[in-house]
Amino acid sequence: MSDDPPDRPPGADREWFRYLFHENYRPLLAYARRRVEAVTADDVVAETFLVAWRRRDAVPSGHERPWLYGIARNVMRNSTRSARRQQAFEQTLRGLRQPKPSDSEAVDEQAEVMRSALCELSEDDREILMLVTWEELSYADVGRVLDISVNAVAIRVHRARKRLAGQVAKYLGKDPSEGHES
Amino acid sequence: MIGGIPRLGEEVLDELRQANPVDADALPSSRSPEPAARLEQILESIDGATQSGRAGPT
Repeated sequence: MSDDPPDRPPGADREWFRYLFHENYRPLLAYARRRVEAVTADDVVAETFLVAWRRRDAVPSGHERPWLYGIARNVMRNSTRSARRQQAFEQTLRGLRQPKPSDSEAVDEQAEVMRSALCELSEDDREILMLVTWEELSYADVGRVLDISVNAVAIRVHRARKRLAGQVAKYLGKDPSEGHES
Repeated sequence: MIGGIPRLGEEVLDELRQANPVDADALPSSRSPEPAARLEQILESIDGATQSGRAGPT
């Protein structure tokens, strides 16, 4: 990332940090909870904010949240090996599959299919799709999280969503070409 | 979905968006007791590190 350092008056770091925490705690916790189990998510969030403090001069003003997601991603990657992360992700999603009382059965079933298909994707495909849909980031912000260009994001999203649609078709035992755009 | 299969365009992303398992708004606010205590812990650890840094090596 090549953004300018944040504009903060000297000596105001603690106040800035409190602000950063309150503005980003919830989305960051949601980000972590979508990827690891709840107790681990709390630790990931705490560690991410500690890193943010240590690297406070590097936090890009105006783009704090994607920067924090990028840090949280590294925290999770460094703490767990790839195979274990895959297993933990599947367990996390399974644990989260509690239907809401307002959900209709069909909607819930559809969500279940999508999440199952997501579990079948590579970690890279999954992450980029989750950032776009669940974290609701723009391509520019996804690029900030993953440290890649907007064009690279667009290409990866295109490929990942094709693979996701393929997995959904496979999951449902259908021909993926049936669902292609005209 | 078309016949149970999402199309390759935006639709598949919309389907995935709707399958989001965590509602951020339902999570505890940063000002609720546990997160607030976490923040104070972090600030304390920062103070501790700063003070020991100031003391310097002996």
